[in-house]
Amino acid sequence: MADCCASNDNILLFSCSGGSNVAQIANDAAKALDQLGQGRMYCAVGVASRLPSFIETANAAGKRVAIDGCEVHCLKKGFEAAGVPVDVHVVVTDLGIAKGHHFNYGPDDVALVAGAVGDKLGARPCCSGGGQ
Amino acid sequence: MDIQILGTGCAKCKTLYANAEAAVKELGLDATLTKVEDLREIIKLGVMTTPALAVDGKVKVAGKVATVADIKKLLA
Repeated sequence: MADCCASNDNILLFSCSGGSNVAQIANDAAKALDQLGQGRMYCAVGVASRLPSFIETANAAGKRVAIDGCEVHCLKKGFEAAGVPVDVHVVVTDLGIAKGHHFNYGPDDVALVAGAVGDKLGARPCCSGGGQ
Repeated sequence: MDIQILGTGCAKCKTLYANAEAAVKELGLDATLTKVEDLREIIKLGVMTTPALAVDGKVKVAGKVATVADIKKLLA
């Protein structure tokens, strides 16, 4: 099964995880992309807090994906402050989802965001299941 | 009956498709078999591990390659 996604381990996925629907959609999209083998979710707060080991790991990745919830771009700004480049940046509100202090969203919203990331990455073959 | 094989195009997905095709043939079912490779469509169905198999929009197998015998049991 050589076409599975071993190479995708080199893509790190970071997401906003704030107190709004768009933040949690970002988080769920990163989880889905991780579980579907499109990259590996990693601790955004660790990087934004400028913890050396997290910065080292983030800088060693082939690509860094940042999924921000809204136009405040906390995640991207945190990475800039930490000196870590962002290669793919997706903002949930840019995709037409309005920000609110609620968590009423569904798989269609998560799919929209994960799909936008997949488009930018060029989604690749992956079987995330454990075996036959 | 609409059978969907969900996955982003890996070898395991292709094996699952072939197994589903064989199961349908052996059971003599009138079924439509389609591949779903788009991430959006896969996530909309709530699938987080691939390959997966859905029947009429309901996920029956996820994260493994079901055998022909397994799929026949699901479809019978």
